[in-house]
Amino acid sequence: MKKVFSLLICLVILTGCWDRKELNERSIWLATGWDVAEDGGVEISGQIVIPANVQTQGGGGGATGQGFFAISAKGKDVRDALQNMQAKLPREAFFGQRRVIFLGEELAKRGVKDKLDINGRSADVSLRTDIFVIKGGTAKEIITIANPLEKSPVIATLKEHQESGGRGDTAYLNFLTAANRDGITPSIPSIEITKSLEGKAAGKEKSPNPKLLRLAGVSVFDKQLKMKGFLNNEENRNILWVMGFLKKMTITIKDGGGDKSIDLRSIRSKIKPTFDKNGKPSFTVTLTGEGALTENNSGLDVTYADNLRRLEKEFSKQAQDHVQQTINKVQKEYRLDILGLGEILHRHHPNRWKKLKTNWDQTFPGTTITVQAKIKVKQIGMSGPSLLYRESEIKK
Amino acid sequence: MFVFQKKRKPKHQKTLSAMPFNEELSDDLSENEKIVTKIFHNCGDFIVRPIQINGKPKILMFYLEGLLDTKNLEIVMLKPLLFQGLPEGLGEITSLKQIIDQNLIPGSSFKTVSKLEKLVEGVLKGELGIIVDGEKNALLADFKGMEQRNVAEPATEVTIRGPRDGFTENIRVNSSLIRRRIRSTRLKLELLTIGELSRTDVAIAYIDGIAPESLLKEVRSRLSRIEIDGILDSEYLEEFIEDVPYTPFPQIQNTERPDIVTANLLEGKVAILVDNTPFALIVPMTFWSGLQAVEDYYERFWYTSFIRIVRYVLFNTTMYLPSIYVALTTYHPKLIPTTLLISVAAAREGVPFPAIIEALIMEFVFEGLREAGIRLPKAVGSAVSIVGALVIGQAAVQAGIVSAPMVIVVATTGIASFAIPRYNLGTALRLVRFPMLILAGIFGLYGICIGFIALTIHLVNLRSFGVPYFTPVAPQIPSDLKDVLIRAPRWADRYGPIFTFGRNKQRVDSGQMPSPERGGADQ
Repeated sequence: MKKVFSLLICLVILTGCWDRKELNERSIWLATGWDVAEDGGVEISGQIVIPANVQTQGGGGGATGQGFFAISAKGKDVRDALQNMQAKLPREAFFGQRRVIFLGEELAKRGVKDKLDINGRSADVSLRTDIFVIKGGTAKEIITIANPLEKSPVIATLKEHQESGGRGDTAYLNFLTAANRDGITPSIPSIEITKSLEGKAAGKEKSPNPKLLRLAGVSVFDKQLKMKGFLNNEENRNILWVMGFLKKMTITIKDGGGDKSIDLRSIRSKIKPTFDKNGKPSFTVTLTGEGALTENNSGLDVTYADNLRRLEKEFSKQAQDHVQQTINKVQKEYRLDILGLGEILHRHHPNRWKKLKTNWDQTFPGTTITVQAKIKVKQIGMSGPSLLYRESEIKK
Repeated sequence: MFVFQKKRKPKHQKTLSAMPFNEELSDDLSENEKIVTKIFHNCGDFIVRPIQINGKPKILMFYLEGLLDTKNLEIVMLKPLLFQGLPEGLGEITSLKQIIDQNLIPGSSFKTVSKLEKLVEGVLKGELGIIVDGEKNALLADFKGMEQRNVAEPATEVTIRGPRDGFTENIRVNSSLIRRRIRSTRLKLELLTIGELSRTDVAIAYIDGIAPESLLKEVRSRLSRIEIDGILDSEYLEEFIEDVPYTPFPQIQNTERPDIVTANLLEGKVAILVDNTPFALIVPMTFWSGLQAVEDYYERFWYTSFIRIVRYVLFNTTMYLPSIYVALTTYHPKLIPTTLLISVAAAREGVPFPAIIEALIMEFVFEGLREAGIRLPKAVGSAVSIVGALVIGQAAVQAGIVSAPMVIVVATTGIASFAIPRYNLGTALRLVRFPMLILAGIFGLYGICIGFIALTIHLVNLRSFGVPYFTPVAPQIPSDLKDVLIRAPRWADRYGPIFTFGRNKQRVDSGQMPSPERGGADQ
């Protein structure tokens, strides 16, 4: 009995209500933004849920007002800024559900190496978080833009990222692993402000043409974690395909006789390093993809296997060319190995890598990278040729 | 526990034991009458009926009214003796032996007793006492015919498919319900009497050759140790014979279904029937038998296996759902999916109490509602459900006193606890839930882990008549697992539980799985 009691007492003394906090004493952050403050410190901005506005209670009418609000404060580092912020925030900041990090473009250009430590140190935050560089803007600005579909706009950006086949909430983890390795330089997806209807002036928040956030490709960082520039969405997809992150993609062939599109679902990439006599490395990238033919505006009857094979070749050719162009651009323009080819080399030939490691940054731009693509059409949809063509026009 | 252990006081005088009878039966009828009437002095239901034959008082009959079938008595005994007279040629009745030998009374069961004590006991049981002039012995005739409830469907253990008879308050009827299911002389019913005043009949039922001798010995010795004034229900015995008194978990199974008793007897377990209650006890009980319903054995094994898994899930729901809810919302909101967390946070907005207090209040109210629902007379019963549903469920949420998710959690937990087939296991769970909740409120998931570990240690340490409570999972007996998480089809589960049934025996012959090779009707 005494043993049991002493055990119970130990339980009470040795632990305790160290982090007991009711939900309505916490302010749930969904996103944190980093910007440059004038004095060289950081300006932290946050998007916080207003629970009462998110949920309708007891059927008493719809939710009124925004489901979130934005807040920001300046400081020497994040905690300092948060301390300053707490003075105007009635509840303790809770980062356990933070899903997205926004980095202002200016901050990204100046470098983030000495800024983001808190994301790996705090036990509160999750490493599974999405991260974006804001193309032509600041985090503070982005964090106020509502989304008409999602109660919290941040979740909307995360979903946009995932739906368009990107890295989603593994983006920050990828960034981290790239940041502290030799054979790869980091890249962070980027986002920009646009509006619902292109080419028209954006309306107010609740209008049918509100401001929206759009995925804007990827930003390229160097080893010092300073941003060097952007790649557009298509280039982003090509790079992700090579890296093996891409989950879905649509390829369209421009053709005078009618454009054709394929939706790729099962996408893979295989990179094989080889060496010539001088020990100079080269890479063969084999891209494979399977998918459904979703559009065929030509009179080509795809129920014939020959036609289908020809179509597959065309798709493969196009994918191959585009990926090759993107890789060339990365090699020439940025001269940074964001594809992680160094890491591939490291994995395949650890001994050779030891020698190559030191000046990989100089070697990479001159390396030969050959791209091969194999695309297969698995489904052709409901009709062979387009139904708009007459019998005589159909190419069999 | 030391609270309950008081210092030994000098023994109280035993007021319980039966009063000794000093007198002995004499051979004088009027003397005997005096003795009997003195013993039953002031017993308003005691009736003495002297019968004169040939003008002289010859026979004395006495009984307790209501305990025997008076109508039958009149037809069988009184009519021939009083009106029709004795059959010709028999002469005078001189001895009791003569009554029996010459088949004067068409009764079914007679016995001669010489001791007054036995005579009184018999009368108290509802037998007819007969004393004949000039005899020192008395006769007990069985005319038992007490008013009693008919065999009806048991109220607490209902099935869709399966027999619908349940035990009654009469131990004879109950034993006959078992006997009808096992027509073998190997079904034994050992009779005992427990209770100094109540003199309650208790029967130990088992199947000879299947129930282990060691278990039987243990049951007999534990039952014979009981000294108490009266037994009103089998639960009285349960508290005396269980292995671990300080635990909320039942170690003895009770049932009012004869088919459950029979099934357990076939597995080598021992049943204890008690007079005046429809609840029979079955020993030993394992934790898993607490989660098995009768119907498991009357439905197809696929469905049974599925419903068992559902039950295990509900079991854990009962134990941990409120605790996990409290722990997650107050300590680990990070573990809740974002959208769900926001919904919960929205619902909790404006609730004045911490989640743990809220949970305790709601659990308490639920227990109150449940108790009120059972105790209230049927006519007002519906009022409780209305008050419960409207006031607690809706009004409290709308008033912002409790949050809607908490109501959902508590209601789910409550329903889950009723899905456990053995009511007394369910009540144990409902009790354990509260400390678990408090642990969760103080330590979060860490507390739940501690509670889980402590509970598991406690449960595996329990024994029921020497059989570990978690048999056959811990200690693991692979062959017995066929009837735990799932129920294997009958032709596949060929052996009984090893602890009671023993090894080297089988219940079902091998190779009985139906298949075309075994031959069908058209072959």
